[in-house]
Amino acid sequence: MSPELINLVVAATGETLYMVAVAGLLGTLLGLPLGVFLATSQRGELFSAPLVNRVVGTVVNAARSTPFIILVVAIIPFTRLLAGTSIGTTAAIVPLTVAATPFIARIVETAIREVDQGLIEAAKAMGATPLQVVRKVLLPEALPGLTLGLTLTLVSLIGHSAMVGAVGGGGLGDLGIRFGYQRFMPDVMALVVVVLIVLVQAVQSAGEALARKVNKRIRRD
Amino acid sequence: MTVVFERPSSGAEPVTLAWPAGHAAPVRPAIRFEAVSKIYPGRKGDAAVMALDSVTLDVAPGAVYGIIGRSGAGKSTLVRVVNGLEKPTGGRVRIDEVDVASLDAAGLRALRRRVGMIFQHFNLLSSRSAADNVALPLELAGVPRETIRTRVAELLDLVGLADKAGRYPAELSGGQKQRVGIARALATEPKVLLSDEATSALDPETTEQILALLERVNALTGVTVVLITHEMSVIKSICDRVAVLEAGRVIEEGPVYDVFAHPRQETTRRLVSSVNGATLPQDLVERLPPGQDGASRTVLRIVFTGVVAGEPILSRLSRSLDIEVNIMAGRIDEIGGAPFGNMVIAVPARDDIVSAVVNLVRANGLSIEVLGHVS
Repeated sequence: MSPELINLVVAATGETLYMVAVAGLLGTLLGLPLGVFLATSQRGELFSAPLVNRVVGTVVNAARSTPFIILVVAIIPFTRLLAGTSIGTTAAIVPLTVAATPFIARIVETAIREVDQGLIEAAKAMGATPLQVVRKVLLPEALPGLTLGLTLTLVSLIGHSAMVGAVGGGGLGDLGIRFGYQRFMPDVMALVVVVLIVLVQAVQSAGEALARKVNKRIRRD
Repeated sequence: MTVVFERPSSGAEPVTLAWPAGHAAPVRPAIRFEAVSKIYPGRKGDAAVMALDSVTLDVAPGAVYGIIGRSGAGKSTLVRVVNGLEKPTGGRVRIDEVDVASLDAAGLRALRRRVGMIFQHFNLLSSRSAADNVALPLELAGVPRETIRTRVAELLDLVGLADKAGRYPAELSGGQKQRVGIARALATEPKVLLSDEATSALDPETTEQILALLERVNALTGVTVVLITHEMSVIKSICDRVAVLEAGRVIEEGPVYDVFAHPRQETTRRLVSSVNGATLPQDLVERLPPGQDGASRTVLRIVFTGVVAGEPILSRLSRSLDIEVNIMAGRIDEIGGAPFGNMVIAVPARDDIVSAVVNLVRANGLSIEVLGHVS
């Protein structure tokens, strides 16, 4: 394989990491409060708003059931509005974030619902405000689950980022399709796949290690 | 054979009782339940549930007040209306004269800082060390970091866990977790401590230790303790007064000693019998067919209450009637510093002896009943 090709793979890896990192970060910033709201706004809960809960839940489900490749083209006007263009790596972050946000919201919701109701009651009995319950109890207690959930999100973003080649997003997936498949260069395809496997493996291992570290529920002697 | 029931020497009058039954409270109550009702609306065709039915109770400041009942009797709801975790559908709860229902959200949070609560399953944050768990209510109240540190150290010391400050709940035993729970509940120097089955998940020995700690905390800080339990032994060991709850209603209420000595309701009697030995050993019961012919011994139960429990009644019986007295079962306890218990004895089955025994025992101010006969 020529040095030029190697350079292409390195550049594509950089693009993938850039898209995944930024979309993961933005998705978390948006998805976290959304997930907290979903987990605490059913009837009788901390921020009881059953109607809004149902509406937000429906929107989240709708976003999640749209196939990603369709989402990418469907929101092109929105992407252009935000990124100034609908083509390129930075523009690709918009659909990735839009896909990641509801995904993260559901993951956050699940992790928070795992927290023992007794802890919420105890915090209320201590005179905690609803926001304090979220900040001091729900988020810290859900942290191991949140960490694993965000790991899952990053892994699935790596997969999704392969599709943004459709709008000139670049990245490893795009490289694999254009060189490996369309120009029939199996060595490029193989290298792309290996790099992706290594990336996913690294993210997964790091996430699991972090989750173990923040999990104080396991007795360690 | 002589059995003498010594009174504990150190001023063991039941002085810990809040006030005599039937008298008005001398001071304003710490907590007052005024006809408190709670109805949970039925859902999807289920009937509505009446968890509390017009509960009226006064809890004196500094008291250790027990509420006992079987599961589903409404105990949990009753403690939760005190700090507003549940809202009554009828009646009023007053804490230091303040109507809990009249408070807005901020007022309710301020109230909750003056009402600590401990739980059956401890409800400690698994992500925080023992010290940080104790610190939580202080953080929530916006206490400065330095003050929190000293206060937490004091509290952990008070509950005997100074050396476990950095441990996480997963690394602590049940008893240690509950000690952390108690320290946490006391962090904001509450006037009232609510205990929701705090010892139900603990073994008997640990239960004793936790109850002793609660008693010490009560004596030391004067905090009013309201504890709910399904175990009469808990009530017996630390409470001054008790209310028996059944189907959301208070069916009996009074100083623990009175309720134990003279249970008026069947439910109370059953609860009491679990700790005072009123239940006969099974093999003895099997040998007690009523009015059996040819029986050689008559079995009687003597109930000891109050001051008279110090009387050497058995030796007096055998000496003055010149009979042999067998002890078949019995248990003497101390409730609120006064001896209490009952004893099952057997005497020769002759009408004249039995009536003489009964008369003598009654003459000594004790109650006695004939249970049956054994051969």
